[in-house]
Amino acid sequence: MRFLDIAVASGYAAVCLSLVVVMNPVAPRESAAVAATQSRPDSAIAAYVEHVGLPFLTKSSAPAICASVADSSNATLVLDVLVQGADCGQLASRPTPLASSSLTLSLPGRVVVVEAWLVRR
Amino acid sequence: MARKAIAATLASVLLFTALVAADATMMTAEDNLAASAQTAHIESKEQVLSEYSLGAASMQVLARVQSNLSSSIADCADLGQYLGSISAAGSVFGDVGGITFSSTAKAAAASAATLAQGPESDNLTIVAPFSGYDSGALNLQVALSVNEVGGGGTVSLERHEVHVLHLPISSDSASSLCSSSLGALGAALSGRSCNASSAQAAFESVVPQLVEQAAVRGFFLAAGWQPGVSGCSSTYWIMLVELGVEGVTGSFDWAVRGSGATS
Repeated sequence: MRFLDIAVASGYAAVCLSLVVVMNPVAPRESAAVAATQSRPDSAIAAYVEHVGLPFLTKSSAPAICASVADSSNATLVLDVLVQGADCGQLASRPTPLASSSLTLSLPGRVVVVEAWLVRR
Repeated sequence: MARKAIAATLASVLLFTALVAADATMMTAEDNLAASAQTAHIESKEQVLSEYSLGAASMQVLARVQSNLSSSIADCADLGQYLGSISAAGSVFGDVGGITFSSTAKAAAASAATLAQGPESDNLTIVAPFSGYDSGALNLQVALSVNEVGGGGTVSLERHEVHVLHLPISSDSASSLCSSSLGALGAALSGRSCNASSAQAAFESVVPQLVEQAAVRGFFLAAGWQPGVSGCSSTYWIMLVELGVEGVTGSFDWAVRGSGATS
């Protein structure tokens, strides 16, 4: 009887501990944190496009566009633009980003891709 | 002893049950928080993306109207009708970060009723300086629609808006120059066409002034005349070209021609 009691109690404890491990609340918390981190490059792209406007991206030369993204980048948030597939080379070697985002714009006569990376410095 | 063991077991069961229940509650709360954050992130991204895609569709229609204006020559006689009949449509679609979007834009000349409301600014600032109403330019009423679906179909966005955009051709100036230039040429040639040299002198006396008037308004003017087929009649023509109009895809020239005859 005593052994049965100990076995049932131990089994129940094991099941409960397993459930506690499986239902780890840290995973969804990290997911929320990732979403928050992801919003930084998204916001950076939005701010850049809003600042320069679509007509600028439609008719300006690639060097002019590259100069504008260089102005909008900083140490931790790097913006780059690809005009018809050619990039500005803002990052000599692309580091593993904390978060990144990109936006493809189909403008008259050209496709412009705006990219943003949140990097650790 | 046995009772103590049973009591201890029951206490453990209750303790572990409470622990699991607390953990499940915590997990559900964190899960909901993460789902809300994710949904909010997708909604925010869809909202921003809708601005871009509506702006890009607007740029497409403006580029088409610009292409029409630069490739065809308008006529002084029906300039208002020609500009009033201008229309174009454009669309953009794609997939950005798991959000599928489709935007359309349909542009037509803005009606007098729309212009009478007098909104000189428009909130589609992403296409500035072509957003809003500009007096004397070609104003277009653009109907925009966007549909977006993200988050695996769970988060969708639909927008239908009407905006006023413009291309900075000087349509009012062109109309005015058509009337004044053709009127002046007609007056100069009228009654002098029987004598070619007299008519030529009258023509040459008036043209420099017309060229100057056109230049003041940003137009290049060319003009010519020839004797008519019968009697003392003559025909004359003008070509007005607005050079270097700043359009959405670069600068372009817009031309208007007109003609008249004296009997």
